Amino acid sequence: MKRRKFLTILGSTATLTVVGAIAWRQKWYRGAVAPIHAYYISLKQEKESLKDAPTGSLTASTLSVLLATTEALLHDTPPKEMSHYEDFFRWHAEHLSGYKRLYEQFAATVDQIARKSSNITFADNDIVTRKKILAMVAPASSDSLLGKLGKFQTVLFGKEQLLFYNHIVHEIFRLFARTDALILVGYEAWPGQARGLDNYRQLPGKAKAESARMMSRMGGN
Amino acid sequence: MSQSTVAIVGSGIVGTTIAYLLTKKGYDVDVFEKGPDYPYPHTAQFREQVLYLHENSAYISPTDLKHLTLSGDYQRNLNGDFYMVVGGSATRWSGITLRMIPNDFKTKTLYGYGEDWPLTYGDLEPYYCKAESLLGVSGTDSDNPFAPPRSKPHPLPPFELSYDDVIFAEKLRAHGIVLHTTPQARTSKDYGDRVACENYGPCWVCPTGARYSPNYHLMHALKTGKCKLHTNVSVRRIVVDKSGKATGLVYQPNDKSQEQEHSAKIVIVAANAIESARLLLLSADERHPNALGNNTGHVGKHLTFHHGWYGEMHYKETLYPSRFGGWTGQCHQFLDPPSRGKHGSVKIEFPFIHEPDPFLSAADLKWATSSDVIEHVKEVQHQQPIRLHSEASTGPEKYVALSKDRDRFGDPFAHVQYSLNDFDYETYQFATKLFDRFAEATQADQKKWTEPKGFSSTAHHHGTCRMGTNPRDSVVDSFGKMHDIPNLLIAGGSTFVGSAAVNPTLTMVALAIRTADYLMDQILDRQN
Repeated sequence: MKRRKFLTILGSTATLTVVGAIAWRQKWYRGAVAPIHAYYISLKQEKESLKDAPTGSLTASTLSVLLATTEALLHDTPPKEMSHYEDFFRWHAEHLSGYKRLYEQFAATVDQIARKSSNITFADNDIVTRKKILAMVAPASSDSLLGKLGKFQTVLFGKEQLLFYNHIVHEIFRLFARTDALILVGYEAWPGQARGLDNYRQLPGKAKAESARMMSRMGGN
Repeated sequence: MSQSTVAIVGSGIVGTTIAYLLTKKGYDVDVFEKGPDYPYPHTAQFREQVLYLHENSAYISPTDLKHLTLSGDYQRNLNGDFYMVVGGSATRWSGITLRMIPNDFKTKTLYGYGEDWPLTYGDLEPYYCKAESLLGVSGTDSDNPFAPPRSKPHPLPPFELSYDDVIFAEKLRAHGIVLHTTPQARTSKDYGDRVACENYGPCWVCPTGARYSPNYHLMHALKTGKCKLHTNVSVRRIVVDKSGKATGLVYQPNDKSQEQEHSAKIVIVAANAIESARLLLLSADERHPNALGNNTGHVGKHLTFHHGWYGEMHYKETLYPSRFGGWTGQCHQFLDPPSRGKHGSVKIEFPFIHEPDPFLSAADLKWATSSDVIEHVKEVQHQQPIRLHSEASTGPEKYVALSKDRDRFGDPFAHVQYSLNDFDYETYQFATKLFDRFAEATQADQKKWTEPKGFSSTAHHHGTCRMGTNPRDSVVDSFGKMHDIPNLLIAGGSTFVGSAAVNPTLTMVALAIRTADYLMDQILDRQN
């Protein structure tokens, strides 16, 4: 960046900050900002906006997009099987208002982007492309990562992104956290499965095997 | 006007215990519950919460029905302690079922603080046995040298220590500290028509009924045909006639504009320590202008929570926590320490890292990749939470009154004032030393401890209608019978004289069984 351009940006930012701080002391300004703040809060309470849409079964194409999304998000640490993710999506669409519509909107959005760029569906794209599309439509909440700038972005552009991240991407990660992630770090089973009353008292099997392998490499017992 | 022999306000573990025992003997009982039905066994709820990560709003009461105001030191969401559904808060609890120790019943005589209970451990011991039998408690005293005396063994064998507990137990033993198994209302083997625990976990909501839920005995009470359950109704006041006897109660369906009256020979208030006091305050009339049972001003007073001070310890080794859905190891070594009296007693427990499930708790984290998730889960495996579950002392800075805020019917909500007193600060200092001792003995490489006001109530609330022999300083007698209204009884944690440091549920159920026996032997049989 050229020095002149840099100084222009710096000067503008400083002016805006000072003017903003002075304006914030004025009641009229706070009054004007209040509706925007309220709108931001309403976006944050996004579950409300899911309420009225009907529940129902997912089409095969929507489900395929959701599973392709899961596969892309978990590509670095792939789960052994996907049936609990499929069950999760189906249950949400069939039982909780708003999910079916959100899933369909999401599938339509990512498919549209995929077709524009490569003329094939989102699910047919490779993992790298799918990840790029997901980063565009459902980035990790800008709101939490970027502070006030993120809030500003959320108000202007982000309602859909927020819904997609919170109710699709983040929920996939949450489900992963309490299922496959546990297996990947050495657990034998996850909560929700009948785990019996013996294993919890011992070192998990995988960890036990690894420990034995290490001992044998080191020449121990 | 509907009528029954006994009307019970609240369908929690205390109300259902009494309803079950009375209906089994043929008495007709109506139970009034403010919240909705909560199907049993809680299979559907388990699937929703654990498999689909969904908290069903149908079981969350609206804020114009479930609310309270708060002043003083308490910094957490007290209103969140209460689960207002059929079965109450024990539909989702850890199931820990401990006995108070004999000295807990006479702290004034032995240590100079609080008041003595109007009954001794010996009086309650047979009822502890009955309560353990009723709930199906798994446990043993063989590894716990600090357990109080008992006349019968636990009905079921204990849940053994978990892998991480064993690591701690060995390290602690070398420093003279005993970590032992924990009695809990969870079936380690088949028990009657309840199946053995298969460790589905997390146990806050049990899909099979292995962890006790009050709905189990309510279901059996309803099967007798003698029990009628009213759901989604708010009891607005107890009615007392000119002769000074309770004649019944006034309630209102939550979605209706008309209140209704129900007459009963016996009225039992078994809401919780806060709502029971509120109902007595709401029931004030010409003859009882300061609330029912409040002639000497003790209704709402002597409130205590447990003070749960949290610490977090971090270890180099991998602990693999949360592989058992409940809790296993605890330490009861400091329930009656030599310095008791200068401060209160303390129980040491290892709750889930973040209740109810460490791996769900990160809901607020904004993960960008699955590797972020793995890093989070790996880190959790090196952490050990610890809670110093501590006795609180009563005092004028802790009480329940009526709030300025009102519910949908126009009745004031409860207002809770709760501040720590000097005794509590001394207990905090004692707990802090114990925490440091634990961290050092277990070789934690990092530790974090809470400030005094950072305590959790642990959803344990006691007092507000305390029992005693003298009407001048208590509200009810040791059976829960109100001193000045003989057919109005209060049951539950609200009648506790002191908090002790152990989880209150088993004591609440033991007292409830004793109350039911008393009712059948001394009141109802004589009326018939």
